[in-house]
Amino acid sequence: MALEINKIDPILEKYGSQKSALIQILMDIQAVFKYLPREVLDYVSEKLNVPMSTIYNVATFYKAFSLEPKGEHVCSVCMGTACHVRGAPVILDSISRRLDLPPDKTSADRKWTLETVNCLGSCALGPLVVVDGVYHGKATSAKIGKVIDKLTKDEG
Amino acid sequence: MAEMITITVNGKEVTVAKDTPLLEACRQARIDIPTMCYNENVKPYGVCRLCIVEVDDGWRKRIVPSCVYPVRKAVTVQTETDEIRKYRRMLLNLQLARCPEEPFVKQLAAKYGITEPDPRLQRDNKDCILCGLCVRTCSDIVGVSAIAFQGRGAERMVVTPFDQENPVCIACGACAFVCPTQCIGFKDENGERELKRWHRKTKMIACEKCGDYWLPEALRDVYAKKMGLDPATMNVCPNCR
Repeated sequence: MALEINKIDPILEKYGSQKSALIQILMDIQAVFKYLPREVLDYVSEKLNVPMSTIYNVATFYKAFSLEPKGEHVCSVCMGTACHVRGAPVILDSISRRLDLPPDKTSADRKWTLETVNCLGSCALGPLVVVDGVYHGKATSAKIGKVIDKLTKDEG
Repeated sequence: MAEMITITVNGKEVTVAKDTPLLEACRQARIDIPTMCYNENVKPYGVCRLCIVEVDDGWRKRIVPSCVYPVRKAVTVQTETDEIRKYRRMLLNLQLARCPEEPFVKQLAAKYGITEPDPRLQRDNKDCILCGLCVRTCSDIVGVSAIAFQGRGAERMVVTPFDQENPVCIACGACAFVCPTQCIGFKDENGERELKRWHRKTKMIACEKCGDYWLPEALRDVYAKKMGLDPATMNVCPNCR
């Protein structure tokens, strides 16, 4: 915990511990920890003098924030209208079966997180799947399956 | 003295101070406007939308939620046009589909001739109408902010952070008092106060003289600190002082 706080203070300083910068601060924290750890939120609440309920409100409102730890690999399937009509549900289903993981969940061994997003703004590439930040346009179940298998295999 | 403005509501003239919420002005004119999320002691929020009225400022007509519309010009207002009734019926239909068992919702809906929610709407069985009165009371009036909205859209609900007991809560019960559907689960029993929805239980203090349980411990401690008083001064209830 002591180590974690070391990482938070510079973030708070960057925004001058302003209450109004709460969302920016949470985004920076999320970038460091990949999620919003509860102890960290308690610390932020105390430092910014913002009630915990307000932080919880913000953290649950935006899909960009996660209160649960994410897996080592994150697979986001776009479920926006364009991707949806081009077969995103089928792809999501196949990935879900391959990873043995329901959508919007993280595996017990913290290896994979499968999430759905509502639009990534690249509708021409649909159906779109993002694996660890890499965009895979015109995705098929087979293509994404290979990507996932490769990442899983690389780890042995 | 504040600047006074005269507006016309359903043909009646009313004079109110500038920046009075239009809803208040209408009520002064004895015109009933249905509301779910309004309480005159809490800052208006404009979320239930039932208080919509038609405002004509001489240039164009608009439908606005009257609780968050401050009176600034001599406008002409209609509160029961067919269009407004149609919108209110829609809102009540949605709310009734969400909370079909709540007497508060049922009563309001019945006023607009709705006894059963539209069968096309997906039915739920919630007890909270998301008016946010408890959240606003807790933060603006009590000054504690123990509860907040969680999530958004269909998943929105009022909870304590992480849906666990919040030590910040002073168990004052103001949230339960303002709640229009009485869904917080407030209970005083055997010297304990429970707010079921917030998973909060605290001991009550018994008055030293009459023995009535009258104040939650958490409330005493917080207020004694805030006002710089000795907590012991609050061990006697107001009736015995």
